[in-house]
Amino acid sequence: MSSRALVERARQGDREAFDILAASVVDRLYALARLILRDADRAEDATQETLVRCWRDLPSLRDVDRFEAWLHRLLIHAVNDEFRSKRRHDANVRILRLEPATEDPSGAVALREELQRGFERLTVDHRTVLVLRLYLGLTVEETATTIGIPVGTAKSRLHYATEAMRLALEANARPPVREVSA
Amino acid sequence: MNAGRDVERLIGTWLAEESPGRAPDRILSNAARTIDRTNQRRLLAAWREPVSIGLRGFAAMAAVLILAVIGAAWIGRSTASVGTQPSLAPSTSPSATVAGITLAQYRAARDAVCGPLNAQLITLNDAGASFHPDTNPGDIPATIANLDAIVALGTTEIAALSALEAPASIASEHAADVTRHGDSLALLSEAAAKLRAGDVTAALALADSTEPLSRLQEGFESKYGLAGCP
Repeated sequence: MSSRALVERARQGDREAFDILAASVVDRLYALARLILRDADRAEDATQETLVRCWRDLPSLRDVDRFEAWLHRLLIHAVNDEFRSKRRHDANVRILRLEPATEDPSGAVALREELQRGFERLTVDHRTVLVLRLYLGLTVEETATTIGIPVGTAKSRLHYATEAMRLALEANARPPVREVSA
Repeated sequence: MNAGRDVERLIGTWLAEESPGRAPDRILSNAARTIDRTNQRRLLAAWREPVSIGLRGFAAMAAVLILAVIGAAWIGRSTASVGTQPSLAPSTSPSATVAGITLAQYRAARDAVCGPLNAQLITLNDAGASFHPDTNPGDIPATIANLDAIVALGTTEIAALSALEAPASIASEHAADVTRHGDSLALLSEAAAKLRAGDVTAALALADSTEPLSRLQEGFESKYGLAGCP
C-alpha cells in the first residue's frame, strides 16, 4: 500500500494503517528531535508525543499530499514543548566536559567537538532551522512553512545560526592568547 | 570567498554523522499505548490553530450555523411529534412540546448544529497560520482577531446547544457538556486577552488548559455516538 493510501486510511480511523505509517516515519522523527534537542530521552518523549498528536489530529489534514510537511510541523511543536517543559530542570544539571583521551592528529575529533559546542549554544529555534535546512534538506520556504514562521524570519534565523556557528569555530581555532607581563 | 557555504557544509556533514540511525522500539510501543486511549478528531486543535478569516468568511460561517440551528429546531420538532397526537392547543410549557424525545432525535438535532461547524473548523485548521511560541510578533494582532472571531462563533454555538432538548436520561450530561463548552470558550477568551497583553506563554497555557475539558466532551460524544462538536 502506498504511503498516500496509508495516510488516507489512517485519517479515516484505520488504526492498522496508522501503525504501519508510524513505523515508517519514527526513525526520521526521532533523528530530527534528537539533533535539535541533543538529548535522547527528550527526543523520545517528543517523538512519542508527535505520533500521538498525529493520530489525534490526522482527520484535520485535508490534503494528504501535505502529510510530510504537516508531520514535521507537529514534531517541531512537540520539540518546542519538550524544550520548554524541561528547561527549568536543565538549570540544575551540571555539564561535565570530557577531554579527548586519544591523539587527534587530523583535528577531526576537535572539529566535531567545536561544532557540538557551537550548536549547543544556539537556541532551539536556531537549531531547528539548521536541522531542517542542512540535515533534512528543506528549502528556506519549506523550512518556514514547517515551523510556521514567515520566510523572512526563517532566512534571518538561518543567517544568524550559521554566523554564530562560524564565529564559534573561528574562536576555537584561534590560538590561546598569552598574558604578557611588563 | 564563501565562508558561509563552507560552514553550512561542515554543519550538514556533522549533523548527518550525529544522526541516530534507528529510533528505540519503545517509542512506537509507548505511543501505541497512549493512542489506544486517544480518540481521533481532536477539534480543539482547530481552536488552537486559528487562521485569518476575513469578514466574509466569518459571515459565511455564521450563516451556516444559523441554518444549522433552524434545521436542528425543525428536526427536533418534526421527530418529536412522530407517534404522538398533535395538539391543537398551544402549550404553555416548553418541555411539553418535546416530551419523550428519544436519543436518536437528540442526536440528529445536535449533529445538525455541530456537523457544519465541525467541517468549518477542519477547514480553518487546515488553512495554516498557528498560534504557538514561535508566532511572529507581527502576526499576533491577526491571531487575536481570529481568536475573537472564534469565540464569537462559539458563543452562538453554545446558545444553539443550550436550546436543544435532551432525553431525560441524559439531560444532566447534556447540560454538563454545554457547561464545558462554555468553560472552554471562557478560557479561549482569556487567552485572547493574554495575547492582547503580549503574554504569549500565558495565552498558550490557557489554550492548553482546555484539553481536559475537550477530553470530557469527547467522552460524552463517544458514549452516545454524537458528532464531534468543537
